[in-house]
Amino acid sequence: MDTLLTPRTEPSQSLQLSAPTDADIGRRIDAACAQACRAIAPAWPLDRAIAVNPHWARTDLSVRTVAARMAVLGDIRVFPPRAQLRQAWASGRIAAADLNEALAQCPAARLAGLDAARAIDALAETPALPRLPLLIDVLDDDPRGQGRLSWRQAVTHQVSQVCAAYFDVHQADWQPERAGGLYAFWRDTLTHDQGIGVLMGLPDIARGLSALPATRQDAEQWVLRRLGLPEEAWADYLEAVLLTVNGWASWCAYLAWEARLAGGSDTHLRDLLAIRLAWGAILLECRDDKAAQGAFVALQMEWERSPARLQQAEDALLVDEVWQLALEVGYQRGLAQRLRAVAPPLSAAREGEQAFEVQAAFCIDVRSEPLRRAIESAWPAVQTIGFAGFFGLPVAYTPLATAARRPQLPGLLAPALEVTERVVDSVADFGAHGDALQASARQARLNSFARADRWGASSRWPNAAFSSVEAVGAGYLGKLVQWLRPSASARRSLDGTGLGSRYRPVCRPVLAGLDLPAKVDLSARVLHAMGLDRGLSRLVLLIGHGSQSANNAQAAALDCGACCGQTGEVNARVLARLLNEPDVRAGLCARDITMPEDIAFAAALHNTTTDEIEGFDLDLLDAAARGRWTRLQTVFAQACDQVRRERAVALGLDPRSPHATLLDQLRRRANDGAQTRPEWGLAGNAAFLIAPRARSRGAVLEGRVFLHDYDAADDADGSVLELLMTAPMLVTHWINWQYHASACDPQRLGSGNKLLHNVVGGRIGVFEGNGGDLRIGLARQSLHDGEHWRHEPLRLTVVIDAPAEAIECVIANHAVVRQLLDNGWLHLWRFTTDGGFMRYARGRWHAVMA
Amino acid sequence: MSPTSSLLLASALLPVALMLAAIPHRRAAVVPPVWGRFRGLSVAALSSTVASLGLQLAAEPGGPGTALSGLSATLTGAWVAVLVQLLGTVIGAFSSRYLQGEPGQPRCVAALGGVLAAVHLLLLADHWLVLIAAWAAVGLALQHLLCFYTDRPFALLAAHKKRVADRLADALLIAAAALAWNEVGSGSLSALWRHLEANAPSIALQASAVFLALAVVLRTALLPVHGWLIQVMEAPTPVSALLHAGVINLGGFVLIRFATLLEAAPVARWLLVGIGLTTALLAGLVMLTRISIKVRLAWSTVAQMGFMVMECGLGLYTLALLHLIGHSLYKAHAFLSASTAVEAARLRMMRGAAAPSVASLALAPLLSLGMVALLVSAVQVAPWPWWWSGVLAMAWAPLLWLPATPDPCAPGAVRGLLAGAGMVIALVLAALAGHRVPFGVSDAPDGTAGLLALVSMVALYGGLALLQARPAALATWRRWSYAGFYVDEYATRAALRLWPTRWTPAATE
Repeated sequence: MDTLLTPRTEPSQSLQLSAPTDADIGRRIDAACAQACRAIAPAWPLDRAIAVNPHWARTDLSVRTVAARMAVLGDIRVFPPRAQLRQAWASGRIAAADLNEALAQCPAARLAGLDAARAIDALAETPALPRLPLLIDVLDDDPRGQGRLSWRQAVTHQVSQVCAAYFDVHQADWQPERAGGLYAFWRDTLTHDQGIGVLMGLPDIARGLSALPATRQDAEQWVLRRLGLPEEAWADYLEAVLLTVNGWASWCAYLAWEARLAGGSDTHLRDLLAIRLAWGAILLECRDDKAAQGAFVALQMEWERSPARLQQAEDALLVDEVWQLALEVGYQRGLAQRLRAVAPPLSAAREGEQAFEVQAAFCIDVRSEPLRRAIESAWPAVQTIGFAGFFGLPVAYTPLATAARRPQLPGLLAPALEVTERVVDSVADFGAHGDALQASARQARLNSFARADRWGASSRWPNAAFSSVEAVGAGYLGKLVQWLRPSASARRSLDGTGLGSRYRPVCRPVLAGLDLPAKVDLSARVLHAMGLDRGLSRLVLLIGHGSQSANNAQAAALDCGACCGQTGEVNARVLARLLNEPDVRAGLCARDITMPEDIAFAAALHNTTTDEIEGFDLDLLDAAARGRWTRLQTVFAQACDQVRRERAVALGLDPRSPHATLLDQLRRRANDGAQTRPEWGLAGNAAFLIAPRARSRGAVLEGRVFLHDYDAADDADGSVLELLMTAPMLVTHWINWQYHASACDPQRLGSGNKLLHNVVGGRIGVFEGNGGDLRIGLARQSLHDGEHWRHEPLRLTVVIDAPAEAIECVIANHAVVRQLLDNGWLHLWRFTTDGGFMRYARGRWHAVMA
Repeated sequence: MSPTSSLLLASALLPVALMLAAIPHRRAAVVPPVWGRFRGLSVAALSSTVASLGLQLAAEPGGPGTALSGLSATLTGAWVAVLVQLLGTVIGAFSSRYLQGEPGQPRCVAALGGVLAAVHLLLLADHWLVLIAAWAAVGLALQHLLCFYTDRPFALLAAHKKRVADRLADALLIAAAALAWNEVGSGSLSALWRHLEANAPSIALQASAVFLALAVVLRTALLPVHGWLIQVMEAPTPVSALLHAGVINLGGFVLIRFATLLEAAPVARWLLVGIGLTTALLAGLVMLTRISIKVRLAWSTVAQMGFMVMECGLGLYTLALLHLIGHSLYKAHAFLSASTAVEAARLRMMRGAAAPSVASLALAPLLSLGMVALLVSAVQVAPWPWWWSGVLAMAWAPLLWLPATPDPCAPGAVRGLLAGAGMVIALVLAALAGHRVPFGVSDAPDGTAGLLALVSMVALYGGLALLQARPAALATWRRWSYAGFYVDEYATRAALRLWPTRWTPAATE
């Protein structure tokens, strides 16, 4: 896993040899291209839209260095805009004490002699951080786009359209031949294009096309040899080139990521880089020699100064870093106060000794926090536990009678186990007894699919569509009228489509191809990690989460990040089934994991949009367990209502409405295809607690905190802590930075305006409007309510309840963790025994002022 | 004026007033009340259009038409008015939630009200001047919606191209009006119909019809002036829905309204058939290559409008009207639900894909033809000419395709064929039922042009079949289709030369 997590190798030292031979230069060009490509973080497709830190592959550099590079290379903003900070200062959100503390915490500020007064003055200024030009910019005789698009825009548009045609397999009914790879496909498209010259104001583009390099390698070599840039700047120049098509670059990086997880490799990103470089070659040929010469000189002059320009930018951004920190210090102050207020006395009994009626494991997702708090206060006999929502099952799931396999685990990992589905009317059907049922269920689904496909042809093919709208177009009247008032129906999973009412409720996900010892191993591992290998109560709930929205291309971004943008339903059900298997229980018993004789595990789903809890496979539980579940419903009803009331204001609803009214409003909102803000997702996320629940129980954390249960006393060798700091902590960091980046630069790192979203390739991503680059990140509507930002761009504060040595050990052993901390991508705190906190900075622990 | 006819006219005119009243007065109007007011008024307008349709249906056919100078409530107009107001109501309700938090909502409400009021007026036009003014007003109000985001270059370019096409269409309509007015001695359309009943069509009237046909081509975004319709994805989704469902098809209504003139002008009809058919075929192919949902829907609209205009040229007005209504409802829903594309892709992944067998590609049209012919022959009065049955057979043949390599668990060939046959029968019955609806139009089919349409549809089916069986053979065609046959590039350049404008926003990237 470590190879995956190491962003990239050391920068370009190998590029600085003297007296190069030709082959040597070739190798160095190749290395520079590879280095530039490594700087791009992946972006998952819409149907698996997990959150990613768009700077993930740059975390080997400090945040401020990356901010400077992004500004100079791509005109991308990393820190919050100063106008926003100014507002936070004016409104008192950032107090003078916060600013002073931030200045104190930032050694660079001290060195630069930055004081509070100067920092405040700087808020009124906008730092000038001009972008370094690329070849296509200096060649452009109309870069401001007086009468046409600038070449930069036009090239991005063209490359984007070609990429879409190449990568799309689900939208176009007429698919191109693409066997030659992306570069060959683009070359073929462009050389046959009769209209591009008109679009770009290049009547004699044919001359340029004759210069088109034949292969990807030729393009890379040709451009870098011809440009005459200083060698130290090569990789930076190439990264800047990739940033002009950052969306598609991220898609290619995703393909490479997936290929690597599967043990292979993928070169689409290199093709994309070559395509963008080749555009420079074409435009160069289209201009006369004098203009070309002038362009070279201009380019070389600019890029020779690139180290100075980067340094300048980094200096200019120091103020922004300080204010970013001040914003965080302000939040942290509140967080520390809330946690101190509920700090257990030293003598407090360990929570595990207490007997609970019910245990409920939730995902660490920030939206679980209010619900857990509400359930605990409604009935203190419920113990809630925070755990990654895939419940430790590294699975891929394939719905019954389909080939639509999909991962249900964090994007960092490759699936190791398969989940299939089985129709089960009663527990006996899990065995051979139920085999006959399976065939008829498959048949029913395939029949239904075939019918849908056949009917689909009536609108898919042009001549069919012409006559069909005349015959049955009026039938859309009913559908159209539904837009007037959305229904209040409950969440419905797409995975059950085509099963019909006979099979839908009894079609259940099951682990496939695992023998009993392996099942027992897996169960024991998961229970230990959850801290449930002792003190089990008679009803244990595994509660995943999922959202409910309609007509929402980015719906998966509201689902469970730990389940790869799916709901946690499959994982929770599979684990519950596994732990309910009598043989597995016997095996666990043999390993000294004791549990009550009449224990039952039940799977459920927290609907984060409507705050309802839906149970699964309850019909398979025995009567006693079902009774316990039923008794719990009043607790859930009360707790869910409380959470809905807490959330209501942010959604523009009246928190004083009666229970049923509020639920009805939320459900209609969830089913409303015109609603761009069905829920706020993880907006506001700011901290991650890795600690026993006792550390936070009772504290109102406002749905901004990820909570993972961890008891250092049960982790003598530190292996659980190591896992938590290298997996869930990275996932939360990804989520945190996706929100951060989308809020700070909604145009380049967010996906812009949802009202203009136009789904590309059925699932690849969205365009904003007609075209332009593929868009990554979250829509503005996901973070902003039209008047205010709902997400404050704060770097995650991780608070761990573990001894300093154990934490340091993990930091020492994992370069990725070290980089994130040392380069300022997240804050790390730990609880002290006296209820206070220590802050980690550059290898040392500092006391956190109360 | 009889009481019935005044009631008729009043109920048809009321929506114009109501929609004008929905326009907020002050720019800084408060958002929720503005939408609430719009909703109330548009429901009232919808009721009024429904009442007007009811009155029209109850009235004697051929009863009192014109009641006010320059305006006339017709049965056809009443149907379209219900349709457009329904769309306006739904799209307004959608927008009121969708646009939450956007600046410029009052401007949007104003433009929406303006568009709807102008459309209602257009539907009542009985005078060239009313027609020209109302149609121009639709375009002007629409400009505000197209440019909802003034910082988006492609939105500005699309709006500019639309403006160029609109002004050309205005000029053509004025020319058509001048010719007809001069000939008839009155700008009244009723007078024109009466004149045509009494006199043989002169060259001037034929020319007038040609100008009218060309104006419709421009306003209906047929090739080569379709570009702006494709590029309106730069405005919020409901704007696309309104445009593609409620505005673009008005050309069809105008052609149906001018049936009497068209029937007297074969050149104009052939022009409509030629341009409409070409657009339907080419845009239909382009649609198949699109990689984003909204652009696919937009090309689909262009193709569908081509088909509708062709039907008008063929004299199949009932079909054209059915097309206008059916397409509007379908396309409005398709646009509003465009973001379900991800769900649709997931479902497609679950269903998997199976290429149809060559045998079924060859036999499906014959089987389909047999079924259509049989069902049509069972009806006493043939609802459409025989060649149209051929067109329908080609259209629905894909429902009878069978997979080349069936999944052993999947339904067998017989079951598949039965399901497909059932669907074809249902579609034919629905089409027959559609012809029973009293629309107040009478068809005047042109056999020769009809044959051309039939041959073209057979060729289109052949192309689709080839696409299934041997996609590699069509690589060049796909490339041209993917490029939209380069029509828009040249049309854009021509438009910018004709009427230069600055469409890229100042000093931004």
